[in-house]
Parts: sequence; C-alpha cells; structure tokens
Amino acid sequence: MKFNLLKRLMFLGIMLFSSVIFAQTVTGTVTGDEGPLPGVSVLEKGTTNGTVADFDGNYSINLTSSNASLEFSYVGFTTQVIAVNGKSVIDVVLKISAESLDEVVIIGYGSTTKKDATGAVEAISAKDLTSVSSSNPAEALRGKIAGVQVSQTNGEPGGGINIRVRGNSSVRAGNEPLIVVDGIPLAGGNVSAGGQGIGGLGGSSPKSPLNFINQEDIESITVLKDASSTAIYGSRGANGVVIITTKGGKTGEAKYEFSSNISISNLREGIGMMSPSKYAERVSTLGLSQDYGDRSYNWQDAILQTAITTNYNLGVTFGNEGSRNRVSLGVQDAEGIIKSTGLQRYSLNFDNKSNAFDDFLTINTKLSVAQIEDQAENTSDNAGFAGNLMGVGLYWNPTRDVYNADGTPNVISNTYLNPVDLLDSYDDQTSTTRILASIAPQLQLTEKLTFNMVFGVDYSTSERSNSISPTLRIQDYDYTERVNDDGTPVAGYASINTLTRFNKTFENYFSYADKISDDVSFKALLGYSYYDYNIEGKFMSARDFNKNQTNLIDNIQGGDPTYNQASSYKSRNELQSFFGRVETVIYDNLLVNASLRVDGSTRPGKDEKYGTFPAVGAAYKFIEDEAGTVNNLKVRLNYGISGNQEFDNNSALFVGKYNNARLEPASNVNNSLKWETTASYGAGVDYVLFDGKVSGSFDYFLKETTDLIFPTDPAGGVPGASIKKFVNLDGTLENSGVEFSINYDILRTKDLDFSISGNASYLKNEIKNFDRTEFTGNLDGQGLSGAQVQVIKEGEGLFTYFIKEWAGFDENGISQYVRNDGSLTDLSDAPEKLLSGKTGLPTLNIGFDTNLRYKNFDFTTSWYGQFGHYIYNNTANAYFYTSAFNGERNMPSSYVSNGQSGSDVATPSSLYLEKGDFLRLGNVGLGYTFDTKDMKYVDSFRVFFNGANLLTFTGYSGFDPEVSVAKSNENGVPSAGIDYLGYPNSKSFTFGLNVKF
Amino acid sequence: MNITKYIFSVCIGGVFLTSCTDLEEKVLDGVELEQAASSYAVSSEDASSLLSGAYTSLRGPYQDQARLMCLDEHTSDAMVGPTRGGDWDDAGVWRQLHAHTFGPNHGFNKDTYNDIYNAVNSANLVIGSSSASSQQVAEARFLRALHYYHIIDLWGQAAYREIGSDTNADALVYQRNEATDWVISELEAIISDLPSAVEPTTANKNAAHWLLAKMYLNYGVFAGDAQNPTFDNANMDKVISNIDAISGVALAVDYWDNFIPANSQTSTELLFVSENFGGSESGNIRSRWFMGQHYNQTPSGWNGFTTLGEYYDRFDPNDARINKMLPNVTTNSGYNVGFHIGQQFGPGGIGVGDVLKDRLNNNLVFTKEITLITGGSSLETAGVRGVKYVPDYVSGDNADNDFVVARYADALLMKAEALARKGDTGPAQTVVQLLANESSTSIGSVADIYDVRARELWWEGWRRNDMIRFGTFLGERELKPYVSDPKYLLLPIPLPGTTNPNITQNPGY
Repeated sequence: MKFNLLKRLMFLGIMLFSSVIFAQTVTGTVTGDEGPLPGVSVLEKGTTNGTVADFDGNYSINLTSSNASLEFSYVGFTTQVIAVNGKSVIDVVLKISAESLDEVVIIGYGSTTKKDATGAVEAISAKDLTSVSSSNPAEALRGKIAGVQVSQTNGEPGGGINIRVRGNSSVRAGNEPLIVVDGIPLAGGNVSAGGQGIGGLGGSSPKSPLNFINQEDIESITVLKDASSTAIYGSRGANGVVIITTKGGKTGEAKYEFSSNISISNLREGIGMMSPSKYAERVSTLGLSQDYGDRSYNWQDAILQTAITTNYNLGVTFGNEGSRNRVSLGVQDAEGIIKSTGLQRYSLNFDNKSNAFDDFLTINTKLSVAQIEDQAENTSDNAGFAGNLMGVGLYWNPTRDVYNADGTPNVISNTYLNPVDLLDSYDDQTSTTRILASIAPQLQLTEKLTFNMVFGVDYSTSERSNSISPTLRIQDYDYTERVNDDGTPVAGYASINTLTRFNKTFENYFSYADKISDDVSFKALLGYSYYDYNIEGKFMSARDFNKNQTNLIDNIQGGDPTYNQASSYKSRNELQSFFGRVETVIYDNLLVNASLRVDGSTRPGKDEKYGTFPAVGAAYKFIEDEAGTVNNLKVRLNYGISGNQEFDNNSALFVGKYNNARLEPASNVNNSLKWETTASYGAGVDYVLFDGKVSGSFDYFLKETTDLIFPTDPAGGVPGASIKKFVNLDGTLENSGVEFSINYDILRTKDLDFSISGNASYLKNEIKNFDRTEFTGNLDGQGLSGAQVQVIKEGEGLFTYFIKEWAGFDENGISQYVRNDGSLTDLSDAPEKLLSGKTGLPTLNIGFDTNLRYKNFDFTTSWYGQFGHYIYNNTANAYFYTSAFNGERNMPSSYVSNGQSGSDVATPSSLYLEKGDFLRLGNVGLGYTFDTKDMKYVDSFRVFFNGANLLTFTGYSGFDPEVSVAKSNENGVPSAGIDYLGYPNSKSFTFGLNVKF
Repeated sequence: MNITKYIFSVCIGGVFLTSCTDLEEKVLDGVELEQAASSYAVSSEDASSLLSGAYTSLRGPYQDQARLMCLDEHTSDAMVGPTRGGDWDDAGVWRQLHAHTFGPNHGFNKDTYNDIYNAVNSANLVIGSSSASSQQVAEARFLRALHYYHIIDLWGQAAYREIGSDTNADALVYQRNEATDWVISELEAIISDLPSAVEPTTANKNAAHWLLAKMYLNYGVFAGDAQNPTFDNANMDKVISNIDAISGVALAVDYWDNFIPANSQTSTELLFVSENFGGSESGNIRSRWFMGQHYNQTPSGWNGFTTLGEYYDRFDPNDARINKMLPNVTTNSGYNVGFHIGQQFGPGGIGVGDVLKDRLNNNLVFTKEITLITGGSSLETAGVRGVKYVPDYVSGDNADNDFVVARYADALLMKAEALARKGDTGPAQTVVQLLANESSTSIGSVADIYDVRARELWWEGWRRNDMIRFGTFLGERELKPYVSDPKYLLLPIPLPGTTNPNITQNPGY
C-alpha cells in the first residue's frame, strides 16, 4: 500500500512540477588560489539544475529562470552565490575555508553556524558517511569528534552500540545521549527485546534501536556536547544530544541517486586455539586419555562463515518552488560472521516541504519506515558453565568428531555441548517495524516572528522468538532425563517476546529575530513541548516438547502446559516542558546566549515533578576573518545544568502486581525521587590559522553530576519487600577533560589534495562524597558465581578493578597472590585489592583521518584508538586454565605452557586483567570519480573499494580490545571493559558504486 | 488572508490541545498501593492472596542452597563447599563460610537477610490487612515469628515495623534479647487462633509449640551470653510443656517418608513445611540432591558440597538415615539416598549401571579426605556427598518435595535435651529411644543429645544453632584447625543494612 502511495506521489510530483523551459546559457571558469579548480559544483540556486566544472575548471550551465543566481560550492572552499543578472560569462575565484565556519550547524530548536556557536557543538555531514557501510548510523561518528566515544559492544550485525558524549555522566541512570531525529527527540531505550536466557546458555542484549535509520538518508549528524547547548533539552540532555537530520527534497526535475555495495567479512583475528594435533600432543604429555583421534576440527569452520553483505539504495528528489520532495528506498542484507546470523533491513524515507500563501506557511512532512529482520545465534552475555555458542565452539575437544558416522551430531553430555548441535538447535528471530512520521508546519507570522509546530509519531513493534530444539541435550532440558505425565521423553524450550512503543511528540515554539540597534541583534525562542511515551510488551514461553517437534515457535502449544508461562507489562511516561532561549550578538564580536527549560515528567516522585534547567554561553571573537597567520580566534565559555531521567516508569510509586492470583508488591514508593542533574562548566577556543590551512578547536570541561539515582538494596529498608527503591544518593560524579581537534590542509592543487584531521580527548572521572561501595562487573562461568570485579567507590574512577593481585605460579604451578603487606600467599588468604587507577574506561580517545586526492582518485584512511583502560578477560577466567583443560576443554596455545597446575583455582585476579590500549585502522578507502561531463544522463559516478578493521595495534590477547559485554550487577549498575564470549568482530572489504542521474 | 488566519488558529489551538497535563503517574500493569500496608488489602480475596504470598515467600530463603542452608550448614562441621580447580571458587564465598572468614560483603549473607526480611514484610501485609480473619492474621504472625527466630539466631538484632507505619521510614530495631521476648510473646498470643489441624502446609498450633520450644531452648544463647549460655530450668520446663502440647502427629514409619516428593501427604511427623507444587511452582529444593552429585551421575549434578570425614564418622555406615536403598532411585540414579562414599555407578546401581568415571577419567570414587581447595587426582572426587531429599524424577526443575521446616523428631529431641539439661537423663533417654534409629542409644549427659541431633537432623539446617548452643561452634575442627573469633557467633549485618541508622554493625565486623 505504501508503495502505491509513493508511486502516485512521485508521478504527481513529476507531472505537476516538471520544469519550465527557459533558455539562457552561462559559462565560465572556477579557480582557487593555486589555479583552476576541477569538480566544483555549480547549481542554479533553489533548483536541482546544476553541473560540475571540468578538469580545467570550466563549466557551462543552461538556466531555467531569468533572475537566477548561481551557487558555486566545493568541499573545503567557501561557497559563493553570484546573481546572473543577464551575464553570459561568470568567472569565479573560490576562497579556501579550511573548516567551513559558515556551515550551518543544527542545534536544538534552531540552527547556528560554527562561527557563531557559543557551545561545544560539532557536526559531520553526509560526505563523512559514504565510506562506512553499517547497519547503525552511529558508527559513522566513531573517531570523528573529540569527546564522543562510539563503541560497538560486539560484532553482531545491528548489535548494540554505546555512545558516550564526554564520558559517563551517570552511574546507574543510563549514559546514552538523547537522539533527536528531524526535531523529534526519541524516547530512548530499546525497540526490540533481548534474547531470552535458556538454562545455562544465558540471555543476550537487544539490538541497537538506531538500526532503523538508513545512513544513506542522513544529511548531517550534530553532537551537542556541553550543557549550554544541551540544556535546551532539559531533563534529557545530561548525556549529550545527537541530532540527526535526514535529507530533504529539492526543486527541479527528478534527480536520482543510486548506490550499491557489497562487503565480504571474516573474523578479524582469532585467539590461537590449539589445533587437534597440538591438543592431542598436550593430552599425551599430561597422561590424559582425551585424544579421540579426529584431526579435522577447527572452531572457525564449525561456527563461523564468510559473510556477504549487500546494500542497495535508490533516492529521488523532485519538486518545484512550492513543493520539494525526496523519496528513497534502501535494502540491506547483512550476514554475520557466525553462521545463520544476519540482518535484513528495508527502509523507506519520504520528505516533502511545501510552501503556501506566499511562503506564509511552510509544511515539512517526513515519513520513515523501516522493517528489520534479525537472525541470531546463542551469543549470550552471561553463559554459565556449559557456555554459549562461542564458548562451546572454543572449548570443544578438537580431537572429537563433531558428527557421528550416521551424520547426527556427536553428543557427549548435557553439560559438554557440541557446537554444531547447538548451532543447529538454536533459533532466534527478531522482526521489528519502526515508523517515524512527522508533520511540521511553520508560520511566518511577520518578517521577524515565526511559529513552529512539530507533531511526530514514533511507532515501533518488535517480536523476538527463540527456541532450542528438543533434540538438544542441555542441563535441565535433556530428553533423556525428562518425561511428561505420559512418560514421553520431552525437552526443548520456546519463547516469544514482543515490545511495542508508541510515542507522540508535540513541539510548539515561537522564534523571533530582531535588532535593538545596529550593534545589538538577537534571536529569541519561546516554546512548549509535550511528549507521550508508551511502552508495552508480552512474553510467552513453553517447554518440554515432543522430541520429534521441529517448529516450536509456530506450534508453541506443543509444550507441556504445566510449564507455560505468560507475562506482560505496560507503562507510560508523559513529559511537558516550557522553554526559552535568547541569542544575542553585540558589536559583531560578542555572542551571548541564555536558555531555560522547565521540564515536568510523570516519572519522578510526586513532590518533584518539575525541574529547572538553565544555561548560559558566551563567545568573543578576538580575530575574525583576517589574513595572515591567525585568521580566526574565538573564545567560548559556557555553563549549564541538564538532567537525566532514564530510570524506569513507576519507579517512584508503590506498585502491586498480581502474580498467580496473589498481589505482590513490585516497587517501593519515593515521593521525593528527582532527576539526576549535571552541572557543566566549559571553556573553549576555536582557531583558524595560516590562511585557513589549519583550523580546529580546544576545549576544557568539568561536569558534576549529583542526586545520583540508585536503586537501594532492600537491606537498607528491611523489613520491606525484596524490591528496589529508587533514591537520589549523595555523591558527585565528576567528569573532566580536555578535547583537541585539528584540520590541516596540507596541499590543495588541481591534481592533488592532501589533508589530515585529527582529534583527541582526555577524560578523567571520579566519584566523590559517596558513602557506599557498589560492586559490579558480575562475572559468569564455572566457579565464578557471584564474583564481581569492579567497584564504584569514593575517590576512585568509575569501574575501578577490585580483585586479587596475582603474582605468578609457585614451583607447583599454584597461583600466588600479594597480601596487603606485600608478602605472597596462596588462595587461602589472598585478599581482594583495590587497583586504584585501573578502570574499565579509556582515559584517552583519539581519531584521525587522512584524505588524499590525485586527479580522479581519492584515498582515505580513518584511524581511532582508545587508551588507558583495562580489560577483564572473563572468557579466559572461565575457560582457559589447566583444570578446565583437564576437564576436556580446549584453550589457546599461549595458555598451555604457563606452568599452571591442574589443581590451581581460576579465581578472579589480575592474572586476567590486561591493558586495553589499541589503535585501529577503522577504515581505508580508495575511490574513483568518473568524469561525467561527456555522459549524457549521468551527473556523477563514483566507485570505491573499502577495507574495514584491517589493522589493529593492541597487546590484548582476547578477540578484540574494543569490547564491552553487559556485566551489570543486580542493581542494574553497569560495568565497563569486560570481555566474555561476545560475538567476535569482523574485518571486511567492500566494493561499491554511487551514481547520480 | 482569511484562510491563513484559520490555519493560524488551528495551529495555536494545537498548543492548547496538548497543553498542561497534571503529570499524574498511572500504573497500567498493576495497582498502585497505598503507602501504609494496612490500607490496601480491602477485600477478603486480597487478604487470602496476600497470605498465600506470605507462604510463598518462604521458598527462597528456606529452600535455596545459597540462603539459610549455607549460613546454617556451611558454617558448621557438617558441610563444606570445596573449591575444585576452576569449579566452585565463586570468589571464595563458600570457603569463607566454612573457614569463618566471612565479612559484611558476603553475598549470600546479604541475599538471605534480604529474602527473610522480605518474607517478614509479606507477613506484615497480611497482619495489616483490615479484611484478614483472625486465623489469617495468626498464620501470618506465626510465619513472621518463624522468620524472626532465624533473624535472631543469625544476626542478633532484629529490624521491625509497627503495622500501619510508614514503610519509607527507617525501621525500628529490637536488640537480641528484646526480640527473643517479643517472638515468644507473639507466639503465645496467637496460638489459640491457629488451627489445630495437622496439615503441615498451614501454620498450626503444633508448629507454634515447636517454635516456642525452640525459642525457650535457645533462650540462654539469644537473651544471654551466646558464648557461655546458661539454661534455666524454667525455660527447659517451657520446652517440655510445649513439646508435650503437640498432638495428632507421630514419627514417620520410614525416616525417608519425610523427604520423598509426596512427603507432606505420606509422613505423619511433619509439623510445618514450605510447600512446593511439583512441575509448576517450587523453591530450589532439588538443590538438596543436585548440589553434591557429580556431573557424570544421573541426573547430572553440580559436583559441589560435601560433608566432612569427621561428621560422616558419626554414623554407622549402614544407618538407614544415610544409606537407604529405594528401588526407584536405584533405577534412575544408581545410588542409595543418604551419604555417598566410594565408587559410584550409573542408573541401575552396582552390577547394572556403568562404573562411573570423573572428567579426568579417574574412577568416580568419593572419599572422606577433603580440603577446602581440592587438587590432584581427587580434584573432582574428594568428599562424601549427600542426597537429603529423594529425587523427584517427574517434575523437572520444580520438584514436588515440600521443604521440612519442622518435624516431630526435632521436637522430641528438643524435649530430650531440655530434660537432660535439667539432669533428667533417664527420661531424656526414653524420648531419644522413640526414634527408630536411636532405639538403643543411651543418654549419659546432654552431650549425647548433641550427637543424636547430628545424626537425626543432618543437613536440615540446625547444625550451626546446635553447635552454638553446645559451645562447639568456634572450636577447632577438620577444615578449621583453629578457634574462631567469638564475633562469628553472629553473622555480620550485610553492608547496605547498616544504612538504617537504628542498626549497628555486630561487634567485630
């Protein structure tokens, strides 16, 4: 149906708005400081009528209107607009603008330019997105912006992504920034359910909620980093704001943009598991009898594959002066490197901007629809003793046949699983639909006063179903040990988990711009917002199916009804806000902004429904657009307060729920529960040097988060229900840091351009005045129940390690540990120690890019790195030790000769703690842009070849130093830097093309 | 411009349409309860469902292997959770209990504390319910008294809330002796409202008498000097009279009737149980057979806890209480219920089942020799294992066996102990000899009762309490070759508990 509608719209658009014939030709030459500039885009302003200058900078364009203006633009140069005024020859000299200071930057409820920004605001545009092919648009930010850390939690297609803007400004209440898509602040949270844990196999994290955005539809991504910019988003701005703007329509005849690429991905790097022959040799050395003769097993062959990913995108823009449209369609089919995993996304994007009544009314209508199908395997976060698919694949005795002679899987026991059996027996499918639609009328009430309204709807519905076949024998789900009432052997498990969100956004605001005198001008904003966020989900599960049943999900009543389970939930969060902002420019040089937002929410306790979030920012331009060594110099100062309300609905209420006909308390009341608030102080310098060749900025910030939201352990409030009570704890979480960015245009000539850009941020956090000790970083695996390795403690950084200090093996191969007095001891009285300064969070993040163009070839590299953090290798702690080997579990060769006795205990200690520093070539790309001036229908045509994750420099021994498996504690306090059997990262090669016609 | 005015007014109207909600939060998937517990159970259905919840809340703390059981047994000479290579380290939680090195951070101490106080709260909800009948209130007060017995026993001081008080306020605290008197007064106040029926799944007069006897027997520990308790004759007389008041029950025909899946329906001696529904709803009762069984046994176990050689040697190896052949168990698991020592066999047992091996390919031979951290060839095999409850093979994870909180044998042994403490060893011996397996035991002093209790009530959760009352808890023993600091007579208040300013950490922690 939607396709029909689109066709009609496109047809209508093309019919109604096909261009008027008007014949006038303008020709000319475009030059830069160092000679003719090829490839400059020449556009008849306000239309899609355009051309590109040739190799000698010559252009020729047929105008469609008599009073046209021509817009000359080229990356790295200041755009010029020249009115034609009847001229037939126009020659242009473009000026270098190292960083386009005039580039419009979208901020909350408006826009500014880089030049006039008082806060720490940075943006990347569509051109930065073309080289990365990802299911998640946030990946494009990785390494690009100082102070913004983007890390994938694992290598699963569409898997979760952590975005941190200026560090972790909350302990418990979430650290993801607010995402605003085309003026709609998204509700946050996941849009699909996590994988249900089955027995000891463990459950898995949900997919990233941002997968619905096709990066081909993105015009720009802006990150608001400091509170003076984020405070306009009030209670939801403390973690920074990421503003995503999608592409809009253009006037003129229909223009098409087609892109397509194909990627081939493989495991980035293994961890050197023992081969069958090495394993057999080791077994024989130890006098064990676990060599079963087979020599063909390789875990990578057993569970991994070469993954093929294809992307197709088609976009069309068309329209006239009264109505501009863009429609695009994207299809992505991404395989994962674990067999039977992948993601398919079908996305549709529509944008219309219409003017009416002599531009009195402008209406922007947007619609984005995405359908995502995910296939997963058992790559859980918290697998127990038996392991998940990764664990099983790694530990399987490689001298055992995976299959029996008759082709059935070789089953050893219900606690020692066969990787191919688990792979084939596990099924996990998620289907997610998300629709984001908005209509935004703008009324130009007077020349100076406009009224904007945005009404947006964000609907998503997701269903995740997973099952294990009854033929798979795992502990508690073993048909050889279970019978139903009739005596039939039964096993297997199936669950279906739905999650639906329906969110409405209403934004209403007046904007007013005026001058008080020639020297003082201002813009003012006054508005009201209302948000209505609804979430509900349903869950059902069954177990103990007949061994012959195969389609458990679709015939779930096949289970033993005694074990059927059903549950559901539903909740709602409403927010209303009043906000205002004034931006003034005084004597051209001094910029002063102030904003205030008053937020009300249903979530806090009934005495604390409203919060006030003020901010001020000021900037002074010491030097502006001068020639010579220093061209621009601006100093910025800002201060603001923003909040965080990312705790669950109903957290402040005394809620009772029925469970099996019994009324049970489910949460504790706290009438004074209020938002976490983050006060942020910042200072920065923006500079442009050496005739625009060098530009960048330098920032310092200090953020203090108070009123920390925590669920208290029930023990503090006994006797009481064994449920958490959310409170605001005393304590200050302090984040401070410096950020530095630089762009250097080393060379810019007709044939050769070379530029580099880089950024670095140093970040320190510490928790102060905090009178409790919160343990987190819960490990999993055999012998690790209840083990926690990280601590949140007064005077320390978040996620500081608290473990035994390992000091080597004694002559018998037994681990020695350091006592508090420095002497050595064995496990029996080894104390846990606070390893001050060793935390799971990086202190230094860097990113740098090189861009080289030679004639039509372009070559880019993109690097990023994280330093200063430590990774806890839970995988090694749970699997790679001698007594596990003796229990028939394979391990990497590097662990074999370490001298550990089979009696040594794998207790959590610094033995498993490693530095996480890494530097990675995230992307390397080679492109060729064809000369299209002689092509009749083609406006531009580029082919490219990319490599992702090809090089990583690290000392970390696990799969990947860029890892963070969710290892939160029972209070939901997260962890950082723990590696445990995650979906491994891949490296990939992509070939693609991009054509406009 | 008329039309623009129209559009303008519609848009501005939009502002008002959406404006100014009162932000009152609603509960859409449950009900919002009033702050004071007393006011939210308004119908009798609600009182019944709350009472049912109060019974259910026993399952966690009483049945799980990592709650009361680990605090009561691992700290004693009857059970140990040895670390076996990579297995059962769990950051030292089990070893700390046995070696008396635990502190306020101990996870299971905290979990037990939380769970049992949650059970107190569930009982309070019934007691505060305006629609609850006097019997319902009495049942809930019994449950609450039972929980406070454990709280007093383990942590000494007891946090409590007056019914109807603000659950947000810091709870008030009874010191150990005050709490002891309060629990006794509670039980004496409700006993007439409790049913006299002998259904052990419901709180009843017999159970209340048993608990009163428990309180009086331990009075010297709870209200006096725990390290050097004295036992007043008056209290001992109370023990005896309360046990004598128990009626309508008799010792089970077979000791194992108390622990089979249908125990409440079969055994005649159960006074009170935490009820399980096989196949649908139950606590972690299956841990009582899973925890010690080796991975290669059937059903595949956890290869965890064992008893100690010294403790095993208290028994005649053929004592039916630790070595009893049940055909169904032999067929399915190949072992006898009770303690397991020596070579183990697969389903069918000796001569029928496989001769089992461990994962290192050693024969699966359980030995008395055990260390806190095992190693070498006996890494997986060290330690005598126990199956205390008879495996339920048909109910899966939700075993049907009800957890025995109180049984008549314990009551009789309390009476015998009280008699012996008064010097009446003759009558005490008569009582002891009522037990089928103790029919020829002679009681020369109260110390002999200690040995009988060790045998009759092994792994039933009484060992720590018994050892403290008999003054042996701190002493040297097999895997704790040193005298513990007296602070270990009480467990530490778990760290978050001390955020209540009315609670002070127990001395020494």
